[in-house]
Amino acid sequence: MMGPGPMGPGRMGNVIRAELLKLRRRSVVVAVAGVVPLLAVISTVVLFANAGSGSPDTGPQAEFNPTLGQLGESGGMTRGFVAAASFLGLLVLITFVASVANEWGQGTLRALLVREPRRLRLLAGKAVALLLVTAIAFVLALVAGSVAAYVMAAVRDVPTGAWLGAGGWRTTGGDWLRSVLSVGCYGLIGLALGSLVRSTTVGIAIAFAWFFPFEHILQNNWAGAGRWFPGLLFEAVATDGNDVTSFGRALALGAVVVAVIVAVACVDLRRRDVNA
Amino acid sequence: MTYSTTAAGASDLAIETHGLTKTYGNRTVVDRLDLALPTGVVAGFVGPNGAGKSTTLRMLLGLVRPSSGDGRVLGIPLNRPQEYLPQVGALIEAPAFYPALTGTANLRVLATLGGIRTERVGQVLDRVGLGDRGDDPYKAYSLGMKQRLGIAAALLARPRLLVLDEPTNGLDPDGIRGMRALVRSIADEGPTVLVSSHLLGEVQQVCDWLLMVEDGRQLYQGRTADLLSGNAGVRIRPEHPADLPRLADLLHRSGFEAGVDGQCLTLTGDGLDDGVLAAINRTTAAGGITLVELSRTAATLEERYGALVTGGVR
Repeated sequence: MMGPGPMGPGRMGNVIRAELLKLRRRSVVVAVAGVVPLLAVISTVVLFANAGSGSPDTGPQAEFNPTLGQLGESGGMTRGFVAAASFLGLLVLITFVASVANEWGQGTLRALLVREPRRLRLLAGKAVALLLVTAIAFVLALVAGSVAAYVMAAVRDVPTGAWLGAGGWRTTGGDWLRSVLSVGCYGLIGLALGSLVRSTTVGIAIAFAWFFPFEHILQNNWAGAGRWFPGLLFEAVATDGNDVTSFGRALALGAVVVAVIVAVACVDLRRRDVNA
Repeated sequence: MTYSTTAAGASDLAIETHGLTKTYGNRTVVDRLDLALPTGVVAGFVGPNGAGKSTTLRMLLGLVRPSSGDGRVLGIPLNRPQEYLPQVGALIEAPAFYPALTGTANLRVLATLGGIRTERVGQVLDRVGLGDRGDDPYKAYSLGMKQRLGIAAALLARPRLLVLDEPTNGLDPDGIRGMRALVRSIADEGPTVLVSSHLLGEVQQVCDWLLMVEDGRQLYQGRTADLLSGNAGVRIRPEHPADLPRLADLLHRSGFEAGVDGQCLTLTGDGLDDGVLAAINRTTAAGGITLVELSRTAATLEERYGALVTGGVR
């Protein structure tokens, strides 16, 4: 009896669907529908709870220290979500590093490559699937953060009239897009790093050390660091620019950094022997 | 369940290589292999651990880049794996799947990736005897079940060429017997099967073709029967064990050097034809020794392999 045979091997859509199948497991669902929205809620609650009525903070952490007056403006609803996105960059980066490094570590890469030998297509499909899931998680986080913002606005007597006007919707959409762009950059760097080092532990250690202690120590000692270093640029993307770099410049330069690192990872992946 | 036997790039050889070599630094892992594996055979890829079997298989599957040499799989050059791999199934070393996913979900990932209808997943699970365990998480599988899931994954694409790298590794005797029967039954359905193993007895029972390697170099390729028939021995047992020394002396004076094996003498080497057996019979009868056994013995693959490694017989 002849049964169904191969149907259209070698299509990008197959790679993305296969990656999405892998992500249909409890831990991922909990992270996407639970942890990420919860962080947005916590961030929003903390922001509203700590907001005072004094003059606005103009320092480098101004985005994370709004006044009650600023929270009542257009975009106040999503201030907590945007603040959470800065921390979620790390979570996304770790997830992307682990996703590709585990393929080497578990030996699953060789099974995948037998069914799809085009290595760059495999990496690209993984990137698309992970970015898609990240975008969905951030929609849920935005919704959860917004609900929390309304609750906290009632508690702190913050006016909400400007939140959902025409400008408010635009700001909300922009905040979501900038946050996804920012964590997407972190994610792609994580994907490239995981592919290059092939170890989840080493990849996370390198990424964590670079993006957090190193860049932030540098930032504290050199104001111009925020104009050049990728993690600080990605933060500027999430916050629509800051006092050292504009959103457009941060996005363009951040994209160049991502492109270079991803290109190096692609060349390495194409040439590397799969002995795992 | 049947397998496709014709496709683009069809050739009389399922695998052929010319000078296929892989080096890592100064270490040559695979050394100028010239393989020619006919379609339709069940071939054993034999050699000790570290002989270069897995590296060779990885080169054939596009996972490892050859340092030099070239080859074809199903008639398609090695540097175009995307064209022949849709017709190839493979289990390389230990099966590797996602621990948190079920057996079925793991196979769905691979089927989706390869553009294979997911209905096929249930068929291959049934084929390897995991039909009722497909919904269990992979991490709960025994080693034998993991190996069978690996074979199910290899069967997804209805391969014309099935490559199994040490499929009995780590299995208990029952598992080994089950795996042997499974491989044999799959082979009966049509695909060319290449099974690597360092367990020579297993290979001898399953394979009708052999590729033998040692230290990355090719020792032998050809029919299993041809290799074994060239090394037949003769077993000679006198009626009375006390006659063994006198029998050995008689044979020595007639030009035969026999070894003692328990209560028998054995002769090994090429050229032990019927004329030789008749001469032995006449010699012993003339010497007054009655034989209760004068028989040919087939060499085991292990003995033959040992002879090839030491260069005694080529």
